[in-house]
Amino acid sequence: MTSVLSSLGNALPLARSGSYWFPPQASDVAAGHDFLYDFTLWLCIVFFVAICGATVYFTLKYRKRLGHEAVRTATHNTKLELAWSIGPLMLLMAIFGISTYWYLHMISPPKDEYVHQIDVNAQRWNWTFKIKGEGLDGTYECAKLHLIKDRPYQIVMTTPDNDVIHSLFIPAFRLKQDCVPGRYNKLWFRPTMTHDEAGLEDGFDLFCTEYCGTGHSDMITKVMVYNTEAEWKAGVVADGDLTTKPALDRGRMIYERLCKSCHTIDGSALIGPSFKGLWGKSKEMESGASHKVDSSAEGRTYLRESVLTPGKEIVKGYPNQMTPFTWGDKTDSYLEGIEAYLESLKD
Amino acid sequence: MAGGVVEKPADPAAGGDVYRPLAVNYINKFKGIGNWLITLDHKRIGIMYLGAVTFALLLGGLFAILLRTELLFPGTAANPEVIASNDWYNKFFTLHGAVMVFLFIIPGIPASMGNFILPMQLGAKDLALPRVNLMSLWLYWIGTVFFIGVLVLGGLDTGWTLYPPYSSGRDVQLTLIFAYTAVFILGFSSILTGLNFIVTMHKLRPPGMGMYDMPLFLWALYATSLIQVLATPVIGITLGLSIVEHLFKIGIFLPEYGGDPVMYQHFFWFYSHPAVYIMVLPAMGVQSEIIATFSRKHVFGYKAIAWSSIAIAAIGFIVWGHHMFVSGQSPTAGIIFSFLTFLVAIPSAIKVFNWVATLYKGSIDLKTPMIYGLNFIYLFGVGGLTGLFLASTANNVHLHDTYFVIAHFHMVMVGSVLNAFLGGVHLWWPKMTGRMYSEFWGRIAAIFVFLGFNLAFMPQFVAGTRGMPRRYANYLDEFTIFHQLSTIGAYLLGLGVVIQVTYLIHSLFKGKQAPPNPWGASSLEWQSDSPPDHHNFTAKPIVMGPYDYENWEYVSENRGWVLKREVVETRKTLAKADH
Repeated sequence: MTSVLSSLGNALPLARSGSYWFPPQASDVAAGHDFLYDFTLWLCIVFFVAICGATVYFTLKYRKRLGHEAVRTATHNTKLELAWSIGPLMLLMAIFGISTYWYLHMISPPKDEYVHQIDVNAQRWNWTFKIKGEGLDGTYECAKLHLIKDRPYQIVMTTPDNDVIHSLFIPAFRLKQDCVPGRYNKLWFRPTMTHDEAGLEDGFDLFCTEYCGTGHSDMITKVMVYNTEAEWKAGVVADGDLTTKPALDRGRMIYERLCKSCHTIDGSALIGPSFKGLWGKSKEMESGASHKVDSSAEGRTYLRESVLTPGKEIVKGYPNQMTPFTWGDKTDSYLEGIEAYLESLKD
Repeated sequence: MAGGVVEKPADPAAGGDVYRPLAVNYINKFKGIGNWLITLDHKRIGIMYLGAVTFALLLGGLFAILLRTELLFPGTAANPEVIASNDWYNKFFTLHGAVMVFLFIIPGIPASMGNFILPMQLGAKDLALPRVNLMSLWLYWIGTVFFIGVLVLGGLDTGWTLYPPYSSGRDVQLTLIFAYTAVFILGFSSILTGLNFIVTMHKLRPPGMGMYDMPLFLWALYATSLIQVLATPVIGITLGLSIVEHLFKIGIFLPEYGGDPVMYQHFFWFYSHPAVYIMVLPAMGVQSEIIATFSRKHVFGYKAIAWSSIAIAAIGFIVWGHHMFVSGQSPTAGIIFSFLTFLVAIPSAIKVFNWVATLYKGSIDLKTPMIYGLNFIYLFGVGGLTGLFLASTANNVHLHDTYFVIAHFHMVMVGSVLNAFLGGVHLWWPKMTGRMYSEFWGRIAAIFVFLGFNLAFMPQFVAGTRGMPRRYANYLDEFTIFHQLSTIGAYLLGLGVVIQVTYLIHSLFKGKQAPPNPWGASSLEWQSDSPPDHHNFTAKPIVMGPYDYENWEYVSENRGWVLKREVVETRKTLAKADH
């Protein structure tokens, strides 16, 4: 059974560039998933046409009209009823069998080769992919998921305890897994197509599919799949290493990545106060104290606390909702960037 | 003269061929709102429920129109608003779901039509426990008041599923407490109704009516009631645990206290999946009555339909895990839940096959309820079959939480429940109000509902398979066409419902007097007057099979269908012989 299905999976016509129903098949489970979908779809179409066809035919043929009377037919027919119970049951078991075969594949990473691990942290409302590996000097925190074609990956994901459930969904891979606070969920896959091959210059879509509030529908990023390790490395470094960029660019990129979903730069309030005109202005806090961001020692202390321990002082009129950020040895460099960016937004 | 029973030959010269309704019926017997509010009459309670759930349907529908309008255009992170902000969109879909599920779909058919029709189909004067029935209505109202409170206090944005930690993990909103309270109280309303129905069906069947002689609507209500009584307490317990967790900081569902959010999902779906069958089973019951009545045929496979209701109720308890294939639940559990889910498809399929077989060699009359009956077969067909994709673990991983799921469950919920609700309202409208609705407008509205519904949800299947996640206030440009078609469909569906409300209200004032039995249906309620007496029947109804249509003959539009004289005579002779 297993080998039959497996060869079936390999022999499937590859709708690699995507079909009417689905995006491109970019992982090694996509073809199996689509085969199961088509199999079920055609079975459903047969039954649906039979049921609706019979309904329409009977409705027309036995419509109420002069001279036509209902005929009393058998009130039941055990053989017929058993047939239309057991027949469909067998077909359902066939669907169940194929489904379970592919599902087992989806949840079982290969045992005979090295599986690259990527840790994922989801928080309202952005993704952080912690990418490490050969040729990289340490772990890079990327906003996009960077992969090399045909390598197996294991994603280990979580979300901070004071955050909410998210779900990582890559339609082109046909895969999805929830990120639950307090748990480490895992998901493995093997990308089989680069984003260039799929004709997607910006990468494959990656969505959050567990409702997480205001920015849920903007919690979208991209999956980049490369042919070679060199391309991959360049992609990871460009995405993940902000410390090499000039302070203002660094600040803008951090804003785009981490701050944008709650803070505007046009003066309007979102979840938190706008960054526009923040620089150098005293703001009243819930505690009654007053703080401002500028390049003085006090201003920098307040900025640092606002990012690393945001619950400590809350600007009056806003909810205490921000997740603390931890950047390790990049903290100073990032804060420097944010400071430069805020200054650029002063009135 | 009792309802449809001809006791003496009609004498046209003496005006005997005209049906004269009762001068005093259940509607005008007692006057004043106060009398309605404390009534023990199951018919009045049923009517008040019907009014309340219709209000909920329109309110939930209004939210649907608002959220569909927001989705007319993609919106972007920088410029998210079409008509409302992301936060308002989140409130729209939460309130749409919560109002529809808790205030319309769950109580909808059993509480309105079940209350009104169940005792009459048994030839009884009332439910077994009339005071409990009134209490259930009052609990429903109190629950509704709390829901209105949620609206007035600024709405709720947690989704109707109220998943922690999103719902309860942060600073708990007052509206969440209101929503919890509402769901808790509505649960008791539901339990009391279910309990009452079970007792009534066991204790108040007339002599000569065994369980297998009951109309299938009652079997469906029986199965529904079992679930209501057994499953509903679990949602109460769940919400109770959540409150205990907050008060005493005990880790149950919240990770910050050491709890597990996935546990909430288990608890929640342990109720809410069976609740899906609380919604669907009564609809299937109404459907069986409509199909049989308007084909003038005995339902094919009575016992199979009856027992499939019970089978659905039983298996429905052990499939909840299919809502959680990607939650982190163990894959082994996932495979078992998938298997069980496939099993529950069989009894549903049996029902559909039996309805189609009932049409065979019938005399099919496309009156408004029957159009809804045929809509039901089609829409439930789509909804049921697309469930197979979702029952497959391998497909579900991709389709979970996409628009495919939205389309699937709307096809099932609206395709079956809304269709059966509207079909049932039209079927029993003459009995409940004593008035005939406009058949012309009835058919027009039914067609609007059908077309609007398909346009609203068919495109969502494709959006879903292509990866459109649910609960998105903004979306990527590539999904625009599906959303726009869907929104136009929602408007059409809304228009159909508005037409309906209009002509039904119009019929209350201007509609023709309804005869006792306008359809030639054979269950006992049609032997009462239209509208019925305060005690339901002015003479003991003649007990016979619910699908013995041969016993009835059509007299005129005004008199409707009456029992054949020989049937009445035979029964009288039999009755005398018994004494």
